Amino acid sequence: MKTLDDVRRLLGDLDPARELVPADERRPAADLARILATDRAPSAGRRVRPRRRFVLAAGAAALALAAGVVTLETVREPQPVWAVTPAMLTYGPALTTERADVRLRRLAEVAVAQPAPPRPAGTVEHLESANWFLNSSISGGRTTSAVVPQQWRSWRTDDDAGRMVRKELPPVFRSDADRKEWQRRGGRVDSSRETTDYAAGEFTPGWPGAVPTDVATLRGWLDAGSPPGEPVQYLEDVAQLAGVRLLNPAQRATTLRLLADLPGITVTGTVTDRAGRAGEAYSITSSVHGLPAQYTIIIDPDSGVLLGYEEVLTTTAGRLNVTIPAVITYRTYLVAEYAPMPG
Amino acid sequence: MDVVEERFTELYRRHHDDVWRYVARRVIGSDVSDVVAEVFLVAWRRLADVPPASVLPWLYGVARLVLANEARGRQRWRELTLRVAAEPGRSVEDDHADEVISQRDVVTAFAQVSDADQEILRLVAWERLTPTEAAVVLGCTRATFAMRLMRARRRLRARLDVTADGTSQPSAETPSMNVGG
Repeated sequence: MKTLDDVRRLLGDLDPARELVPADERRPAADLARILATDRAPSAGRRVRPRRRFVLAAGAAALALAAGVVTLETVREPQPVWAVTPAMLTYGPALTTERADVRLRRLAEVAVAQPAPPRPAGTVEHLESANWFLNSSISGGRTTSAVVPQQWRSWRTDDDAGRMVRKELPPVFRSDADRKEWQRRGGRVDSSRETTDYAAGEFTPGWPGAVPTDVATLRGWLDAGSPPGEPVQYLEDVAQLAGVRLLNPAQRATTLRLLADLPGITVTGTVTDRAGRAGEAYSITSSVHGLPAQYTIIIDPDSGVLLGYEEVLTTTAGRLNVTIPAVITYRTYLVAEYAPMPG
Repeated sequence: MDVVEERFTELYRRHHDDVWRYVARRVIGSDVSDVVAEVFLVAWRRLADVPPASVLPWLYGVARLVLANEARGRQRWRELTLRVAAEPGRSVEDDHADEVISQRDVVTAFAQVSDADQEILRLVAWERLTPTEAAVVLGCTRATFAMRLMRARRRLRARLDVTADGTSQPSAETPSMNVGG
């Protein structure tokens, strides 16, 4: 990969630790013995070095947890408090008894038969979505949590320039005490808005040009130079793609065929999404990112349009202070159209 | 020693030095071993959650969070910056445009990109992780990491162009330090 090679060539020789080894040869063995003598349960008390305080900043903490990065435990109160999470969607029986791969290919046929979106002169891709991520702040025996919704609006030109406006809406707390604790630790409680402008080629640089309309080519394109990933990563990629690119009928059909090919994808059932729209849900359950989670995509059966995406912790929350099952992420795709670039 | 202890001991022995170097690249002094011990303590308590296919990136992710809370992570770079500044001019072979770039210019350019960009570049250049592995460290998808890497490299290149031209640096002898710690 050209980028990897270039970065390594530029910076590789500057590695300040390439020649370094631990100065005290006995220290690793001594630390290992101390760690093994420590309770594995996260109880208060016997820690190797209880002098540090850990804070997970507001932001992508929950995403990091779901993706296999960990929360850092600390001395906790005996009874954990549970974070508010968005309501679970309710899934009903599937419309047909078809397997997921068969049904998704049928939906691909529906998608490809749809009219192309109209494109007035001088317009660009305009997308809007609502996104929720669980944010947690864990510190010093006190746990606070909030659900932080975000509204994303983007505009993308054909040469991959664009603008992304992320508006963070006020987090949802369980109590005033949590709100105060969140504020004391520097968490934001007011609405914020962040606008980022991208020069040509920068909006989705890993995914340049037109979205491929051949499944094998699309898989390679989604890899963005990385080795092929786990099945669930392609489902995540499709969910990300739907949030940043306007897909024409052929492109949408190709993403559905790619999903159909994924090992382990199953029919979850019919569902009313978070914007009140009827959809069909398809899921992969995986622990590839650490915690076992169900990754679900919701599709409009009448058009093949992707409506939404959900991540749900299914069996364990690790150290995350949520009750199982818990929604930790969702995306709801609201607008995908051509529109003028804002001034 | 029970099965769990044996498994952890194997993990510890296999990855200790890599984690130690990860931390040593970001802090200086005796704190390195303290941080490493903290990382493996977390691993011990969360052994069931360690993904077997990405143990080292997972450990790096733990170390990253430990360091993020220590406000010490930039000291190593300051030390390196000063060392390179004191050395006679070394260069980096660069076939990007058939040119030879001063190592000092690279150091200066690197110091001028954001903390987030620096970490992305370090994971690739020093830990030599693939995008998939680095994505585990940062808790993002590999596609997101690939995009961030491209942007980080582009910004580093842009700073390098400016620095090498001498248009933003009053003196190439003393790389600027826009980082704290």
